[in-house]
Amino acid sequence: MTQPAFDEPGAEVTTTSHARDGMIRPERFPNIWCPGCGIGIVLAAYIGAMEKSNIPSQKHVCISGIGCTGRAAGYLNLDTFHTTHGRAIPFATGMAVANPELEITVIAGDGDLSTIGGNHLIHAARRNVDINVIMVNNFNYGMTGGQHGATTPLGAKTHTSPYGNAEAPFNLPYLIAAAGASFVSRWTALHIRQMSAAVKRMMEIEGFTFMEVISPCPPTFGEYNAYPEALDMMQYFRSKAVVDHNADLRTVSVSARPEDDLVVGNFVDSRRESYQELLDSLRRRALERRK
Amino acid sequence: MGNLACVEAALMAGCRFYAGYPITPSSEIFERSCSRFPQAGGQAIEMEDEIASMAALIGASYAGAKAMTATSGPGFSLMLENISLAYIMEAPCVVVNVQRSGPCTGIPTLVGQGDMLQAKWGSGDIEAIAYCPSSVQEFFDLTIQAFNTAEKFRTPVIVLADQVTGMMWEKLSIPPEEEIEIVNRQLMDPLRKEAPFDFSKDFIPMPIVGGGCRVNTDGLTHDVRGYPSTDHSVSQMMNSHLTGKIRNHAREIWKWEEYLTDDAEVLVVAYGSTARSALAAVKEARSRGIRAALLRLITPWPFPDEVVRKLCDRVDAAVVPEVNFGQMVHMVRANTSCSVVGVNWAPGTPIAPQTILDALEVVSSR
Amino acid sequence: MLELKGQAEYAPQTQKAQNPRTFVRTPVNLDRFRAPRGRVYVVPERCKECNYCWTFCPQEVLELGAETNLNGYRHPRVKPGKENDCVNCGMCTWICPEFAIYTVEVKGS
Repeated sequence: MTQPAFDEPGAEVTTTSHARDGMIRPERFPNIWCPGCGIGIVLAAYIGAMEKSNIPSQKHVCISGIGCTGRAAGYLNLDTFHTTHGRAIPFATGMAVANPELEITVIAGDGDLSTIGGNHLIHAARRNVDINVIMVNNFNYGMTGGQHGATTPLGAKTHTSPYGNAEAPFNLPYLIAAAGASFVSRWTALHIRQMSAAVKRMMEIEGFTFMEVISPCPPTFGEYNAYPEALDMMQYFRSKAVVDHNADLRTVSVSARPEDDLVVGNFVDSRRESYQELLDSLRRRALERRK
Repeated sequence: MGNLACVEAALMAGCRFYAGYPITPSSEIFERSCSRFPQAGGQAIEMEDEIASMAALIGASYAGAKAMTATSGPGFSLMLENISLAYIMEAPCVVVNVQRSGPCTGIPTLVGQGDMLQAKWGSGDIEAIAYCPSSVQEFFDLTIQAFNTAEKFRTPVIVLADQVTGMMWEKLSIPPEEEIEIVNRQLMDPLRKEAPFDFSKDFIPMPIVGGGCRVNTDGLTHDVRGYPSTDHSVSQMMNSHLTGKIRNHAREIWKWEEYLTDDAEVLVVAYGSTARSALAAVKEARSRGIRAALLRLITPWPFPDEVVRKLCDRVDAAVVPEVNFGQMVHMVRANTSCSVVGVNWAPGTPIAPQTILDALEVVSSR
Repeated sequence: MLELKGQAEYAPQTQKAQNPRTFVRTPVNLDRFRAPRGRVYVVPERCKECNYCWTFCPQEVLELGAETNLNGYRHPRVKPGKENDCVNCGMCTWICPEFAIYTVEVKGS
């Protein structure tokens, strides 16, 4: 902090640095995201969780994919990696296996992780690789201008579905829980404290942890689907988000229509042997046999 | 077996991470790695596809491990994007491509040499380093060399073997550990004050994760701080560094073997298992009075253009036999003014020495 | 645990949190209880006028300002007269996607 703290209430103080600048790369701000984009909020939640975790920040690694959310890692003051489209998770798997001491978090978008990267996502969940995956879901490929992807709701309009999307989206919490993840949750960009608490829980759990964060995307998805302003979608979250940690995952698909509920919560929090633990036992068995 | 020798060489070079996917005729490398790597204190894992394998290699490389994978033609095509990621991220790793008959699924169990140009030009505008073994012993030696080169230059190195060298059984002589030279990457100092990447230098220390370097390593074109940039000057600087570090040291990377080139009239330029047939053809040609010679390319990439030019310009003709429909012949032709004839052979069997000999007789009679 | 399933319109908090020092019934420890107070810090050059901070401030301390930054966005300011009402809840700090606003607790009476 460069300016003296004011110890009286009063008008706002204008300054050039932020209390959290230690954890970000401040020379790169303002960031490239649109006004109202939820990705910056996810970064703040992640930083908050990192600060509360007992893990030193130099052991944290952030790996991201391609797209708007893919730029997230570049703004954090950590060892960060900006990888190829859809391949952040196998990159993270290789790193996690080679050095199990690291706390690896993958931050990527819905198109990156669940469309092109869908195969890697389900396999990492199946293996229960001990990494944290935060998927920012804005229902489209935002960076490239707003094309539909595996999470675009049925009937939604995007630049590649001008007559309405003819595909039903993935119900991601259901899919990832079925694939075997240890922790599955969904929050929105508005549920900041629950989101940060969930990320902290994800860091504690030894296993594949997944969080879907629903975010506004005003110029693309929002513009064409009843949420032209970022605030419109945040107000939708405020009025229609229903917190239900025990929801039946078969029913939590997102329609993103203003009249429909949006179920959020920490749906799955279980424990089974992680990939790193299993590989460790494997190595012990191999060394036994060698004797 | 060549494939098995490769694994032993990797272990001796210090490789402790393998991520792969089974594909004929490289699966023996994967299988032996799965039994030997954990015994050596490493890990060998199977990924869901070759794309994931290559991504995992880069992740493991940045975690500090020497990493490798093995594949064949179709898998290699899948790995291409991430090979360019390893190139731009400057991640040392080794990719073994035991080439098979192609194109596409081709004949999985038989020889081909169809990925030669792809190794350099398949993943965009990169400088490639590749080694081509012609025997089991060479497969062993070149795998160790590949790791050393990868570590020194911080770049992905490809071992372009083929089904013949991969699956043949020959006597292998493993030198004692003390006699094997091992090169390790330079590590970045986390307490450095200046920007992480000095693009004016050829060799930049590597920021291994977990040590506090806090560097952004990017697949996007990036500046000296590691941040993405669309500035042309940044692209110029970064690409000059990436290509320069290999081009400026190409002469120390080049490896080749010459046989009777001093008084040759016609030169055979061959590589891989084809070079074995070529050697037999050259010897037979000599006994018939044709002054033939052999130039065996051990590093097809970076292409040893000076060597090829020097040797080809003094002969009347060059013959380039390949188990494909013309790949390295184009590189030879581009680098010499002598007449270059390609001997193309459909993949599925090695070229018989007689075929090369026939070409030599035709060429020398002109 | 508070059951929020199937609620009607999410009621804005502002009606309840007008002034934390006003209660329906007076708590017995009121003289020892002090709501925290905060001071708002704004980084004007980072603001993108997304309007989240002043929309979601539970104390309605902030409003859209008039001064624009170099990119043409107007950053928030404390409403005149509401300088004492910030309770350092951190909502603006957490909700700002740009790391452009935060509060610091003000000690003392």
